[in-house]
Amino acid sequence: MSRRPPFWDQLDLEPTEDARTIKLAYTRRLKAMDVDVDPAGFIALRAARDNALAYAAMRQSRIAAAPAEIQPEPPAAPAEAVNAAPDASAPPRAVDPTPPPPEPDPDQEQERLFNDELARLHKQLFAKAGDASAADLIRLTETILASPALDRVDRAAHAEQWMAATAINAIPRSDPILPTLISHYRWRAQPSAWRQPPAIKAVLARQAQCEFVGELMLTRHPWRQAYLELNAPPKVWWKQLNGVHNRSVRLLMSTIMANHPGLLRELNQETVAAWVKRVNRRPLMDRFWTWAAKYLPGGPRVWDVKPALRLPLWSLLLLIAFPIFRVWWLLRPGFSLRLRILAFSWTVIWVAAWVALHG
Amino acid sequence: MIIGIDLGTTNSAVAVWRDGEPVLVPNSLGDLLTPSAVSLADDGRLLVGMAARERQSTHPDQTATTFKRFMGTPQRMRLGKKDYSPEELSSMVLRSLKADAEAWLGEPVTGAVITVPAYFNDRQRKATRRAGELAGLKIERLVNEPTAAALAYGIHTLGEEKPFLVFDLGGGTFDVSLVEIFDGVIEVRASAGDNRLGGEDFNAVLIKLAREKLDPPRLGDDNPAAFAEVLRAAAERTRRALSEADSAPFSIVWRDTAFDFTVTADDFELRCSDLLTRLREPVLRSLRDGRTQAEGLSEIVMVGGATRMPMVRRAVTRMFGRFPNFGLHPDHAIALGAAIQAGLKARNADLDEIRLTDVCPFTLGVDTVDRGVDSRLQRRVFSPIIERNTVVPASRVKTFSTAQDGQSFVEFNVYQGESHDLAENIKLGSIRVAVPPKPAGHVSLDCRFSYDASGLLEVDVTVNETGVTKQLVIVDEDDGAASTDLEARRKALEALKVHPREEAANAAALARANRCYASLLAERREYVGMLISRFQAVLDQQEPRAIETARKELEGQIDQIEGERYL
Repeated sequence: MSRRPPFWDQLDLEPTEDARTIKLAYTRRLKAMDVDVDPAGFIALRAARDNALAYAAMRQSRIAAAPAEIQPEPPAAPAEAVNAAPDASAPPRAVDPTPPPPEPDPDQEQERLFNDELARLHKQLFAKAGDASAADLIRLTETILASPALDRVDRAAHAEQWMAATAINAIPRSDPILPTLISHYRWRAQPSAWRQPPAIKAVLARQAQCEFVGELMLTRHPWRQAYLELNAPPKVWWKQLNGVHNRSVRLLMSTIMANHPGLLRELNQETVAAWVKRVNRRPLMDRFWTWAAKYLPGGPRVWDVKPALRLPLWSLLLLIAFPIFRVWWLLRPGFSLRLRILAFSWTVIWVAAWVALHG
Repeated sequence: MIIGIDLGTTNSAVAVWRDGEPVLVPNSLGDLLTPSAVSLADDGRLLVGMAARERQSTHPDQTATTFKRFMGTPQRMRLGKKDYSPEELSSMVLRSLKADAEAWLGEPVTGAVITVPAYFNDRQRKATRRAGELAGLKIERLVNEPTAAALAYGIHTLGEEKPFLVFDLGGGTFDVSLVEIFDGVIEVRASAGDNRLGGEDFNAVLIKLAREKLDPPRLGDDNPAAFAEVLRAAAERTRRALSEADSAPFSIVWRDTAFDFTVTADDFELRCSDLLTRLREPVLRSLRDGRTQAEGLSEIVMVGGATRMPMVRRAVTRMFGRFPNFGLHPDHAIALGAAIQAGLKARNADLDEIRLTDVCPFTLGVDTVDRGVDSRLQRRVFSPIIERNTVVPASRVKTFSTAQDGQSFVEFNVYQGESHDLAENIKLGSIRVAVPPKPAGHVSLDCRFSYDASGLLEVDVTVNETGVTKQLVIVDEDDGAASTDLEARRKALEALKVHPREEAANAAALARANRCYASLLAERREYVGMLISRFQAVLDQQEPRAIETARKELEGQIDQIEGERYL
C-alpha cells in the first residue's frame, strides 16, 4: 500500500479490479467538476480513469492467464490491444490449418458457402504442390470479395483481417492476389497508413516490393545491371568490392534499404553484406573531421567545423600546403642535381607565366 | 438565453432548452426548418430561407445554396453584383435564425451552440465560428452533429449501458459516431466520417442520369448555370418522390419546352452503388477505433434527411444485419441536441445529472524529418501527437530532437490529417524556436498540444537545454488580420438590407409561384400567371388581413398543381 499509484487518489477510490466501480468513481468526480473552467483537472481525471481501467484489465488478464507466463504490459496500454491482428513481420509459417469462421452463425446458407470458399482459398494458398494457377487464385479471391455475405460490417471487418493475415503468411504463393486485395480494400488509399494493422502493412510492403522488382527487370531500367550484380556472388578484387556499376549499385542499395528492407533477404547475402558495409561507411573526410575534433589539440571548438564550411577550408589548406610541399620535394637532398635544376627552372617558368598572366 | 442551432447544408433549424425539454423554434413562416439559402431580391434586399430557395431555379445568379460545402475554402459565391464568402452567407442564415428565436422567445439571444459535422476540419470549424460572430452571436460551443443527435437520443435512454451508433447522413456531410452512456455521462467513443458525402451527391447522380437521357445532348449549353439549378431542383423533387414510390418522373421545363423521363428506384440504386459503398468505410473505422463489434451495439440511430432514402436504409440494414432505429426525427434531432448542449452550457438544473464528453475526430501532429539509411534520403513526414478519437479537452506531449549538426533553429509545422504523407494533410500553422548549435540529436524539444472542447488548439514548444518556451495559439490560418477585420465585415453585413421578417411568408409564396410559373406550360402556366398577378394586386393594397387570406389561397392552389411544399 505504501507505493500505490497516484491515480487511485485522483479517483478517490481504493484499488479495485472492477471496471464498473472505476467508471462510477469517474462519473461521480466528473459531475462534481466544470470541465470548461478546469480543463487541466479533467485531463488529469481522464488519465487517472484510463490508467485505473488499464490496471484493472491487466489484473483481470493475469488472473485469467496461467500464473507462470505473464506478459507484463505497460500500465497505460489499452486493455483490448490483446485482440490485435497477428504479427505478420515474422517469416512465412503455416497458420492454423482451418480458417477461423468469421461469424459463427450456422443457420445461414450464405454464411456456410462463404466459409467454404474461404477454406478453399486457404487450401490453395498453403497446398504443398500448389495446383492452382495465378489466374485461378485471383478468380477465387474475387468471388470471395464479391460475396453478399460480406455486406455485414462485422463479418467484413473480420474477413479483412483474415485475408491480410492469410496473404502475408502464404508469401510467395499469395503474390498474385495481393493487387486484388489491395485495390478491393483500398488499403493503399486509406490515409491512416501508420495505424494500419501490421498484417496490412506487411501486405502493402510486399506488394510494393513485387512492383519494384518488376520495374527493375525491365530491359531499359538504369538499375537493372546493378540489381543483377546484387543477385550474383560478389566480385572481389584486392579485398575490395569491384562492382562495374558502382554508383548505381550504391543508389539501389540505399533505395532497397530505405523502402524495401524485405528484398534484402532475397538477394545474394554475401554481396549484400559487402555492399551494406560499403554503403554504411562514412565518407573519409567526415571520419577525419570527427577524429580531429576528438584527438587534435584545440578540441571540438576548433575542429568541429560546420559541414558547409568543410570543403572550402579543406581546399584552402591544400592551396597553401601544396606549393610548400612541392618546393620541399624539389629541393630535398638526395635528389639528382640535374633534375633539381630542371624542376626548379620549370617551377620558375610556371610562376613567371602565372605572374605575367594574372599579376 | 442560449440557443442551439443546426446549420445544415440544405436546411437549418434552431431550438432552445425550455421547461425541461428542448423545443424547436418556428420561423416566420411557421416552419421548423429554414432552408439554408440566400437570395438577392429584385429591390436589392436579401431574402433568406424558403423564399430564397424557391428563387434558386428562377434566379440562379442571384441565389446561393449549399454553401456549407465550401466552408473554409477560398471559394466565393456571386449574388447579383457582389461576391460573398460561404461564411458570410452562413452568417446571413444565422442572423435570420437568431431573429426568429428572438421573436419567438421574446427575449434577446445571448449566445449560441452551433453544430458542425464531426468530420469538419479545423478550417471549416473556424469558418463556422466566424460566421456566427459575423451574425452577432456569441459562440458558446461548436458541437459535432452526431454528438448532438446522440444527446437528443441519449437523454431518453440514460439507463442503457451498451454503446449505440449514430449514423448521420445529411444534405452534404456524412458522420458516424459510436456513443456510450454510463451513469448519465454520454461519452462519444469514436467518430468518423466523410465531409463530402450527402444527399446532394445522390442528386448529382440523378442529374448525371438526366444529362444522358435528355434528348438534345447539348441542352442548356446557352446558360449552364441556370440549367444546372433547374436540374438540381428537379433532381431533389425526383429523389424525394423515389423515397415513396418505385418510380418517379424527372421533369423539367427549359426555354418553354417540357422534357421528362421516368427513373426507377432500382436503376437509381444501381447508379448510387459507389456512394453506398462509401458509407461503409466510416462505419468500419468508427467500430475499429471504438474497439466494438457491430453485434455489441444496442441501436443504430439514424439522423439526417438523406437517411429517408430506402436504399440507404437497406444498405444500413445489410451492414448490421438488423433494422436501424428511426425513433428520432431525422431533420430535428440535431437542433434538439444542440439545444440540450445549450442547456448544459447554461448549467440548467434539469440537466444536472448529465455530462457529455466528446472526441477529437482527427489526428493532430507536426512534421518531422525521416532519415534515410545512408543519411541522404530525407523527407518530411507526419508525426502524430494527439491521435484521433482522443477525449477532449486533451493535452499530449512528444519529444523531438534536432536533425542536423549545428542546427540554429527548429521549425514545427502543425498539421491535421490521417496521412503519413504531409501533402494530404491540412496545415494549420507553424512555430519556430531558436536552439543552441550542437551536433544532431543533442538538443531535445518538447512539443505539447492542448486541444480544448471547442476545438481550439494550442501548441507549446520547450527547448529542454535552455528552458525557453514558445507558444502558438492557432486561432486562424489567415493571421491576426482577421480579428480586426471581422468587426468591419460584421458592420458591412449588418448594413445590408434584409427583407423584413413579416413579409417573409409573402415573399416565399410569391417566389414559389414564380418558380411554378417557369416550370409549367400552356394553360396551367396561364393559370399560375393569373394567380400571381391577383396576389400582386392584393399585396399592393397593403392590407395585412387581405394579404394573409390571399396568400393562403395562393398556396392552396399551387399545392393542388404541383403537390405539397417540402422542406
